[in-house]
Amino acid sequence: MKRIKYIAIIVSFAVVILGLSIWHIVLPDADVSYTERRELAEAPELTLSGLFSREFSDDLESYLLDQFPMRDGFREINTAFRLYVLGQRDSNGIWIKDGSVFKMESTLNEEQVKYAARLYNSVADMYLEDLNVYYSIVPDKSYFAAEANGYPHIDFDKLVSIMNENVTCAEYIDIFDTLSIDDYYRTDTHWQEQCIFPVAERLAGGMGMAEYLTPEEDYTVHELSPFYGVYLQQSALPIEPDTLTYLTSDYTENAVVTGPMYEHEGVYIPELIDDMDGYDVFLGGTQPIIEIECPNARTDRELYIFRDSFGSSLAPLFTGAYSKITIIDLRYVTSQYLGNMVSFTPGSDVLFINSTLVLNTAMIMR
Amino acid sequence: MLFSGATFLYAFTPLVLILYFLVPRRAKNYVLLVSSLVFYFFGEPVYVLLLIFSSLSDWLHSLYIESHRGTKAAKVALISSIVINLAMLGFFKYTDFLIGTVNSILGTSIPKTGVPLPIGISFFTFQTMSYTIDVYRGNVHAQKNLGTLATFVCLFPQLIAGPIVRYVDVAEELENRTHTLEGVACGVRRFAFGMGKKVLIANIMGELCSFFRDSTDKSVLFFWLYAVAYTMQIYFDFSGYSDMAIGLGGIFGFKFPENFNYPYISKSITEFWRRWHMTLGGWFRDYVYIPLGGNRTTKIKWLRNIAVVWLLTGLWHGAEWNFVLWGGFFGVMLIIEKLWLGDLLKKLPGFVSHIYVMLLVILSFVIFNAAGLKGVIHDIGGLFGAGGIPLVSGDALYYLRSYALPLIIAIVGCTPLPKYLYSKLHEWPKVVLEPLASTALIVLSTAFIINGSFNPFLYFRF
Repeated sequence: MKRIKYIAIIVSFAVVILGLSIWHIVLPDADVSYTERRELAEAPELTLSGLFSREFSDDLESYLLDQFPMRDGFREINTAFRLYVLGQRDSNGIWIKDGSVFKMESTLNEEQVKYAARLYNSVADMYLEDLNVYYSIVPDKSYFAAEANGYPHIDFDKLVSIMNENVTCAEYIDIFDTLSIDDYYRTDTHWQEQCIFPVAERLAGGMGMAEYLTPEEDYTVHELSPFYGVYLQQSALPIEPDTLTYLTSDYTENAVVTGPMYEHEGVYIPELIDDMDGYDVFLGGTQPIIEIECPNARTDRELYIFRDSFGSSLAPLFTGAYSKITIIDLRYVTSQYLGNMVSFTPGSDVLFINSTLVLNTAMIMR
Repeated sequence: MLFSGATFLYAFTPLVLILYFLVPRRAKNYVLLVSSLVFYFFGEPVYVLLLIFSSLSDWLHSLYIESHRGTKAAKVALISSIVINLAMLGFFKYTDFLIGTVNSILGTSIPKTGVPLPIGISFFTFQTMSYTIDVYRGNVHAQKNLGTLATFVCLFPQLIAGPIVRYVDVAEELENRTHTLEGVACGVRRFAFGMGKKVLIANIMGELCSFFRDSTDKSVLFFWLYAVAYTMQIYFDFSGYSDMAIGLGGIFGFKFPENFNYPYISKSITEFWRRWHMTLGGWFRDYVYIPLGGNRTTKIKWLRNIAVVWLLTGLWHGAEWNFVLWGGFFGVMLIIEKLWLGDLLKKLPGFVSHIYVMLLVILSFVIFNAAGLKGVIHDIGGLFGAGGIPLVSGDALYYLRSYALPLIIAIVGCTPLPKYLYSKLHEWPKVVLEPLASTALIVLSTAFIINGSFNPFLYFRF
């Protein structure tokens, strides 16, 4: 009987090790992992300098891991084992509650937040002397769920108070109470455009433009599915994807969008739902500067939005109120050189709006 | 190359195993030698020359010693060999430590060399030193074949993190070993369980330690949680690696010495060190403690011998003062036990002496893992609420809940209980369970390796 056992141990080991090795060799390499939103490592080139600098061995390890057969299946096994066998409350910082996926971020980086405040002030000093400057903060969705479910989270109140104490150039517009957990995608960090009318109303009200906003009933809702949110991809679990919605109106349809790196037409690019980040549907995702000309707008006022990706779905809601909206992402354009690319019209409105996640890592803005 | 990396598991191992079992018996050592050099080259491309030099040096020295046995020349050759080995170790491991210490004492600013430490140098220099000393003592004949000796020095399963295999342990197997179905199967099983210990327990405990380090919400509870987690991490990391090494050795027909024997069930520090890193303890006993006179000398010299051994043990683990303190801590505890506490511990109820050992061991590993002496003060202080930190914090409670089951698994897993329960089973379910468990551990470990970036080896650079 022992002999059978020994043979079984050796055979099963050989099947796993040799089987997966051969499968790895036979399997064609993939360029990208849509589930992880990144490019996968390619087979490293064997060079003498690579060998002696250890670059080759490091790259080979990355390649073997990235192109591993059934990689997504193994990632699922890992997450499921952690959550459902070991009873861990999160997997790599991702936690799930009622089908919604959250990312844990519990450390408030005060210096980063202060840096954001200083950056706002500095931008205002450089360019915004005769403009009406406002700022707002988008709460991460864990703000609405972490505490109730016993997960560590950033001290959002403290973050807001640091910003309020340090931003001297702008008036704060609080939008926290206009949002709830249902306003965010289940599988993604972002909010849903059709749920943020109260946010747009609050912001427009704060800037004295509420009466010019396009009413909710004038919008047509469009759905795109499946939308694999960023957290779903990181969770490595078989969770139902979301349906992404975007809203069109006469104003959005007639808006003309341009930008130094903008290669699309219009404010929505539905075909990007199949891209690595489906949220790129809104204004093409990461863009340093975008200008939206709104020929049918009810006023001739201009708005400048300093934003992160949350601003991409918010800006189209202002196309009825402003004749021109300039959207600036300080993560991709340096504030010092902004004057060369954007001319700021005196008397216009300016809105700094970033999420708590970006404010907590603000040094990525320049 | 890490045992728990994809390159080792799914490229290196299959290739080496196929080659090794395909070639005729006389070529097997050469397959092992070449593959060991490739293994080391992948992690340390330049330092592979050091490994070759070390093999060559000890081969020549030992041949000379054997041919001049009993003469003064043999003694000179032995000293030369030891000096070369210690010089290598001293230069790569302790030069910058020494410079840093001199700078801080004298206020000088001598620049550090910045030379990186060759992986596993502490292990292979101790192995080669033991070989030459054993040849000098006449415990073993000098190996005439350079390839065979180099195979012993470079043998990849135990090259970079032990166990410290002495030449005398494998001299016979290097020349003539058999490969049995049982040997290979037990090797595979041991390797798989070692992999599981390393990837599924040590790494998870390591994550908890990382979260503790990163947290800004520390508390006394969190410090203790960290201390226990690190105590578990270091055991499962190192013993898991030793299991993988012993298992791989078994597959290739070698019987490596055991390195751990459930150290956390010890009832005294003396017993703990009979069960923890046994090959290192044995090395210091046979090549330092006994030659110094051991305990068959005056009490003062005996205490000196213990102090020397434990300060060296601390230094062997790392070129930082906290390692010296760690070694000194154990030296002091062993002296206290030998002089006063030993008899009392035997009379105490088992659980009391067990708690005593675990408290000291946990404290010792907090010292071990601290960032220098300042780190020791900070971390030990944290365990007792220094700095006005709260007793409990939100982060501590969260991670306690999240890691409760892994911690329980680790605590139970470091006792002989699972093995005892398994031994009670009949043979027939084992026919299914063992292959299933070995395969499941490899598959599960692969899943963790693929999905995780946290995969350090704590004993890698010792």
